[in-house]
Amino acid sequence: MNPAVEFNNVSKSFGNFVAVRDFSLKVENGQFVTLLGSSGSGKSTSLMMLAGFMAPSGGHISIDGRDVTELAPHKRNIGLVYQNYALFPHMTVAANVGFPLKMRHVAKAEIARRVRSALEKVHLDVFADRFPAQLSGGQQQRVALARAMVFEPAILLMDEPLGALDKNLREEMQVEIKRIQRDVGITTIYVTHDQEEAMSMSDNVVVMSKGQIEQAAPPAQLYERPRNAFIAQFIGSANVIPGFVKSNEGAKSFVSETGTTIPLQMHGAVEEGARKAAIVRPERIRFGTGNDSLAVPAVVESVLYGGTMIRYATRAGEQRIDVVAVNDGGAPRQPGETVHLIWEPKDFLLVDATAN
Amino acid sequence: MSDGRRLNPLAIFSWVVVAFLLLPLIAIIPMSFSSSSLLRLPPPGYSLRWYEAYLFNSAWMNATLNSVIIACATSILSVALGTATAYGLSRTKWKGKALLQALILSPLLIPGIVIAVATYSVFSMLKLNGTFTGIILGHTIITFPYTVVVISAALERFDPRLEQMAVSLGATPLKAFAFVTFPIIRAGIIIASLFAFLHSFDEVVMATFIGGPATTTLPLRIWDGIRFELTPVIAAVSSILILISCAVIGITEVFNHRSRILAGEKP
Ligand SMILES: Nc1ncnc2c1ncn2[C@@H]1O[C@H](COP(=O)(O)OP(=O)(O)O)[C@@H](O)[C@H]1O
Ligand SMILES: [Mg+2]
Repeated sequence: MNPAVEFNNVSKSFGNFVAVRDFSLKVENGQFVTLLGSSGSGKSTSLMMLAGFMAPSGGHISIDGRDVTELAPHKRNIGLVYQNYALFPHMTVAANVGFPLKMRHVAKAEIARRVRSALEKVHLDVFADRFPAQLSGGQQQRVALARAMVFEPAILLMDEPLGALDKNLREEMQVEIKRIQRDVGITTIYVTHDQEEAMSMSDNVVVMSKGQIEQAAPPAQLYERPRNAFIAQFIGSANVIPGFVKSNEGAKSFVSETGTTIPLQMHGAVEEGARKAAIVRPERIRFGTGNDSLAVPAVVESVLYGGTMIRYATRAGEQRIDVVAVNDGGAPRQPGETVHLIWEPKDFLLVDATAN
Repeated sequence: MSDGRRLNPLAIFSWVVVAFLLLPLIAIIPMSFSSSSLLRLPPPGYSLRWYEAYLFNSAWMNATLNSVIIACATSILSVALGTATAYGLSRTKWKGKALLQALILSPLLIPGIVIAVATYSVFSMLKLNGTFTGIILGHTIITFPYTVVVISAALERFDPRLEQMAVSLGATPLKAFAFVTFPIIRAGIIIASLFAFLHSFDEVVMATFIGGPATTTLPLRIWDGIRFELTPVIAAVSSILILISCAVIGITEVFNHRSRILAGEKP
């Protein structure tokens, strides 16, 4: 079966400025894929090229196996949701949702029926006769969602749809969008700069930076197996320790740029001497004892008591290492106390120090 | 409380200026109801004879009809051109755009008589002088820049993403304009058309140059009336004109208000 959407080496330049470079991505039918990246990383530009409002400077885009690079936007059958909702202010909610059906010459009675069922799906059927200005931000966004799906488009595109909502409403809407998307089974490409949102909603997350894909993977893989230091830092928090691998009488160790030596216990070949970044997540570090052969001695510098979690900043030699521990009710470590940091070998990753 | 009621010298001055400007207009109205055949204030008695004289005089009626036809045609033509121009300018970005904009607006800065003379000399080659087409085109030359300004302002407040959204929902570009862009900027277009109508209805200089005996407009007829038969009929006609202007300005305000409400809904 053809992928629902395929970007093939797509690029976009504005004058000399390259906004999107060598963008290649396959989205399978029914998948929820998120483009994640900081502002200006080329997410919206990629989406606009798929929607047909910007012509790529190079490469091809296909929908369901059909090359649409040159196809006019109104023929692409794509549902679009923007951050600012873009509801038509002079039309009622029902007229807004019915608009795509009217453009497709659907019969009046059929339009009324489908509009009602679309509004029921987003729990807004009682507001059919209101104007957008009479609705709250969250309600407007749900109208926009209903309008984008009522004509059963092949693909749903959402560009930071929750950006204008406050935190509680945003979380509620995340659940709702996910529920509707799963019910309908529509292929969805979602854009956000909020990594938690991306992680919790998506089947696949595409991390972008400076117009390029840094890594495209399911959320868990992105977190557990970041390809480079950029990804590790962007997704969740991580101790990123630049340095290199050294071998001494058969025992391998990692030497940080700050001069701290960390013993390694790793299977497989490890390239010696090459510049790498060691990644270890703060919550994967435990406090052990000096008897542990792999323990790294460190001194607690500061303690942040956060209720559920306690955050420690420690220093192993010159290298700062953050630790997050679940508050188990015991007495927290004190600043100045010497601790022994241990972790599972699998939680200590060696990745490329630089991004693409 | 006393603060709000204190007499503000600036406000007093403004009201004096307004009164000074409006006084001649207000003085016209009692004269139009005069029973005497002299333009005198205050009138010796009151009657409707001058309104009757206006309504039952074929020369006055012809001039009125001419003016209505010319003003309607001018209004439609300049709004059609103005909408297309403003839309094109708002949707594109290119180098000489600012120059073209300045060029389109330049008639606003050129004295009306210069435009009239220039138009006259070109129209004499095209044999348009003395025709309705000639006056309508001449008036459109004057009103077109105004309509571009007013409609551009309406488009400025319009979020182009709404149109983009309409297209993504399956509307052809033409339908997107008809169903989304046009209804939202409609207030601006109506204001522009009323404005063009009023301007053409009042215009004297261009009509003097381009017009002929068959196309005499109401302002021209008034002008002739003042010179040859100074009677209160002129006061009656003027009063009617004042009333029409007030009505048009009132309607404009209503639409202005409405367009601001629509713009306010733009997120
Ligand atoms: N029409 C345009 N002209 C020039 N530069 C643009 C245009 N659209 C976007 N850009 C630039 O391309 C880059 C990527 O933009 P965008 O795709 O909107 O980023 P994102 O959605 O990830 O925040 C930005 O640096 C932006 O300034
Ligand atoms: Mg964006």
